[in-house]
Amino acid sequence: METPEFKFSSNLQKKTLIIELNGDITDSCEETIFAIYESHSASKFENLILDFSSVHYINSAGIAVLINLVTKTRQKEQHLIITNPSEYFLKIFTMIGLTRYSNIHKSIDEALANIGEENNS
Amino acid sequence: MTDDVTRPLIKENEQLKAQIKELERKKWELDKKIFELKVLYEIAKETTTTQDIRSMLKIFLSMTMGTFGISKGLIVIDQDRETGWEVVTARGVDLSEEVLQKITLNDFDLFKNLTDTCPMDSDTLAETPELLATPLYSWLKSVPLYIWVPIVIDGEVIGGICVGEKISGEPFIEENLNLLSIIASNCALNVRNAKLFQENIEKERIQRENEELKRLDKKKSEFVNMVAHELRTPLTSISGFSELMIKKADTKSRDALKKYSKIIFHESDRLRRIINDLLDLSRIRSGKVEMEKQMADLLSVIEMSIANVQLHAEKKKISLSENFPEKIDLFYFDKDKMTQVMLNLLSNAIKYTPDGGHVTVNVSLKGNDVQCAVTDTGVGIPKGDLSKIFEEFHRVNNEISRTERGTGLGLPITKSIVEAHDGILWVESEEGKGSSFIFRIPMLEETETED
Repeated sequence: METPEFKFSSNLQKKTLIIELNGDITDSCEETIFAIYESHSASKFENLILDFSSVHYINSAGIAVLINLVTKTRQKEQHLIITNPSEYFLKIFTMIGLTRYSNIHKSIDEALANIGEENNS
Repeated sequence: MTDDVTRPLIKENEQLKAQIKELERKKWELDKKIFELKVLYEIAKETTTTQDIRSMLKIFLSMTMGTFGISKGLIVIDQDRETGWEVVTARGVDLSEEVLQKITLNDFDLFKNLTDTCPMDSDTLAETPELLATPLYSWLKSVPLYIWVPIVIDGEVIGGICVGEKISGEPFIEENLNLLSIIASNCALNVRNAKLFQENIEKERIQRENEELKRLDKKKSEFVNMVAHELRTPLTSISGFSELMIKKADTKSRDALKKYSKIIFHESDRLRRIINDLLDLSRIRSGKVEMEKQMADLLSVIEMSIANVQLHAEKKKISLSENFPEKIDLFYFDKDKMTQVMLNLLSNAIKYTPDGGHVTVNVSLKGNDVQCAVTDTGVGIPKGDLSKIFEEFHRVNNEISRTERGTGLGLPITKSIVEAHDGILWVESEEGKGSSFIFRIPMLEETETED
């Protein structure tokens, strides 16, 4: 079976970088995800939203990529927000402790609406 | 009354709630185990995609860290006996690449005796004074808790997976350590397979090189034997007739002595030509003879060569004809060397064509190449000789080659010159009907030649 290609789209609003992930998250995505992250670093965004609504699969190496991202955002005092994770992904993220360092929302809009409150809390 | 009824119900309800909670906990644990099993399967699957140890260990480390939610980790391995242990891959490690490269073999001496997976804190490490000053220690010290998972092959620690704490803050439990050990065993197996694979590739390469060296050595010996044989033939004549002249000088007629002198002269000349040709061939093949390429007209070179052999052809009543395009652009080639090619091909054609035959020179353009075919109506070449025709000293066994002896190096030299022009030379022939020697060379411009 052919692996679905990993794609992404990103945009910046309300000091928030939104990366909509699409396809499979494995170690091969690391370079791309960090390239998007670094390319927006000049804009000094405060929040990073990773949207999982179009993610079909994530393996343990893909989780390691997310952990790396968590470390990075924590170093820069940015907030990591995960949106639209499936029930299974949410379970995995909870299992490995990723949810301790990120807020979870059902949609990007919901996440954006809650940003101010969460950052102040 | 009410209390008597509700109390047991409340108790039962609480028991049920506790049971549900316990079941949920167990399901959670089961889910974790399923996840870990999936990871083992994934690791096994992913690591079969590469035989490169570094790439493979990179996958191992990221998958291991993802499985347990670890932010820092590295894998050290004894790559080979000469360079010793080295950090082959690292994630989330604050050490720069530069520092990582400075971590030396001594940094890992401590771990060589750790054959079991074990948690260790920096206090334990501090008990090893020689480790304190190493860059590795400075990293290990920055991680509150880390786990050392040895990679063991045949009872020998050949490396290890070194990971920091879980981001969940949970401690590593025995089951985690067991899973880490399984991952490391899998890792060891893959490292061993990859090393065997690389060793096999290396062995095959050496074997191929050895076979090639043996083949070249054999060819060289054969060549030396051939040269010795070719040189011995005229030398034997020279020596024999000289001896004859000395011994029979008083008894033999003047004409006979003159005949002996002639033979000695011709054989000496043949010896000189063989030696010159051998030197030529050797220089061209070793690249010591630079082709003196210049913008020139190949058609005029061919025409001059035809004119040169005209007299020889007329003596044998052989007609020479040419079939040229109107014009060929000037291009870069060595005029003298290409003249040598043409003279050789034309002389051979005339030599192997019986009296009254025909020799034709066809020149045509093939894209950016020019092709020239020298075709004769001669004796042709037997099929069995076609593949050997360009070998040194190879002669087709026919009457002409027995009576008109050349050096046996003309065609190899011709082929080498054509190849020095990035061209090819080949032969098409049918025994009894004739042969075509065809070469094709690119019409290079100066810039291309220099490149």
